[in-house]
Amino acid sequence: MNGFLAPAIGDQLDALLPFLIVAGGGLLVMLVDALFRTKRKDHLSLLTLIVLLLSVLAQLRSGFGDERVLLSGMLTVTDFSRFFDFLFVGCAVLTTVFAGSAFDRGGRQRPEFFPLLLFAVLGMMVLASASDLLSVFLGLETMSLAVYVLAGGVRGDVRSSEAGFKYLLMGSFASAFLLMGMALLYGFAGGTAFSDIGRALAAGPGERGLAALAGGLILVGFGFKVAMVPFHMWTPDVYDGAPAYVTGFMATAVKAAGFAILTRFVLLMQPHLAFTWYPLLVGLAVVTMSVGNLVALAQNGIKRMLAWSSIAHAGYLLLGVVTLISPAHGNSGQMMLGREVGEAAGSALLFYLLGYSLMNLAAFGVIGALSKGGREADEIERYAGLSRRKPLAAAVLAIAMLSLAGIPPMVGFMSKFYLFSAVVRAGLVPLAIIGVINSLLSVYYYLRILVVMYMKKPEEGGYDDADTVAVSAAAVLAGLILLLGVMPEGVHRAAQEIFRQITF
Amino acid sequence: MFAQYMPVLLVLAVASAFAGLFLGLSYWLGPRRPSALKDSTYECGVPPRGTTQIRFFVRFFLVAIFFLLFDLEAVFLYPWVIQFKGMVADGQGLFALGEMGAFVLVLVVGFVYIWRKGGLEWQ
Repeated sequence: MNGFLAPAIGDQLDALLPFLIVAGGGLLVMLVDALFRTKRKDHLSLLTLIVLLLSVLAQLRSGFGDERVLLSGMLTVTDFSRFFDFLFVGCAVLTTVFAGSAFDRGGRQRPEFFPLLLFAVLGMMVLASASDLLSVFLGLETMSLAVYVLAGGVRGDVRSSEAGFKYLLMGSFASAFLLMGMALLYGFAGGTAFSDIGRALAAGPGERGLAALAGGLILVGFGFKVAMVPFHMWTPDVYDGAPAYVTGFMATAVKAAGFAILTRFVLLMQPHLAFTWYPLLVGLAVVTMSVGNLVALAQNGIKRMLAWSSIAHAGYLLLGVVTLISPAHGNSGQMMLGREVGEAAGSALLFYLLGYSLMNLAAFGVIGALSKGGREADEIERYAGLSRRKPLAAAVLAIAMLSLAGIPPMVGFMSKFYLFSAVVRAGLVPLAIIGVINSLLSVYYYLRILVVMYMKKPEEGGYDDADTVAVSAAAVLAGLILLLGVMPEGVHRAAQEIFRQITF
Repeated sequence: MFAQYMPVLLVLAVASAFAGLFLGLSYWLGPRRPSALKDSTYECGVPPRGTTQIRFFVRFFLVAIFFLLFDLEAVFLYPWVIQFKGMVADGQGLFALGEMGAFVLVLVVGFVYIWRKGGLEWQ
């Protein structure tokens, strides 16, 4: 039996198992869906949850703290990638729950949803642990193709189809940029493995211009995935058109996957290209924050508002990336400071992604729970008086909004606190000031939801029906938001530990 | 580094100049007497009927996708077949078989899915 496994792969099986479980699980769910025809599709969501749970167990079994090079260098599993794997699987579990409740309430997405979700998670896991340009592209496309279909998967809904189609067209365009950059980088380094690229960069000046150009093109590709201005134009339309549970998944897991590979890539290029990338990323971070927040002020649909807010949050996260590669590292006299700053920025980035995922999933969970019969609960005005009709749903949404605005004692406050203090420690005080001004701006549109829910009189046609399962799941998230906001130390220390292992 | 690409650029320049020269010459020197028949779309010498922008049945698209799917599978089988003997000699025969089995399995699952979902019915 062991003959089927090459000796090299037999040793890696335990670390590969989480990937294999998610991939095989996706196929299994597809087969079960095709072979057993039933009216209700509950067994599919249950099976999906089991697959996700098994992959977590396999991940736990394979252990932590070590670095595993898999499949002749295609994947490198580290604690960094394990952190992201847990984040992706967590987002997928909640998305499964939210989607299941939406289908019960007449959502028109078809059973294809579940295998596609699993394949998207597989792509993200590959992306987060990729250590070769080929596996980066493979992971990115596996994730993207699945998410394109998820966004456009509501049959007969013009807006969903528009969202999927737009995302597909623009995403393919961004992928072309990414591929061109990878080809140039291959030409520069003579190999596609990250180790080859690192070696070529360390070897000497050579064709630095070529590497810088390649880096820029690859930045376009990743910038599209994380919705960075000026590659953000698809975001409002796609987030708005896709059903709420898919939007929640896109705003959390897909964005986290984009930042995972962006961070990994920036760290790879950083020692030698900090000076070409750095001003560019600083500018993009500032523009992304400001544009996101300013446009979000003027939105009347809650999904569109959250889409622009997710652009703004991509800007804050980019500040973390900027701090990670701030030139303090390059200065050998300040090497110790550089390490400290890098650790602070990196752990802040991970903590922020976790907190952001919690609050965004909670918000989209409530929006999905209020939606009915395929009609999304999108108009902010119709949230008037929700606190009296559905107190729990209103409270959860309120906690999510306060957290997104960065108000203590929510996790959003601690995320911003860690992030901005890392920025200040790197000596980038002006950037921190711009960030704080931006989060002050954002308070207006987040609190507007609260005002509408709690202070306006209920009107005719307001949303008054909420799904219990989805609201309970979102309430658990709200509990986590409060818990992590009050006791962030443990998670933050774990995030620091992850970055202590990475060599800057 | 760019010096090595000089011959390529030279060939590119000569080729464009050559093609441009003769296209330009025929444009400049050639007599032009258009007529309705000459201006009509060329369709294998038969007079064209109607425009090309018509709708066609979406199932044709499905057939094309199936063709691609199984064609690609066959294309992937060829290099594997060539390597297979060598891998058997190295004692890795079962591994090679398992790898190809996994690849074919994924395709078969997709095929079963489409079949059961009624994607193969023409109506």
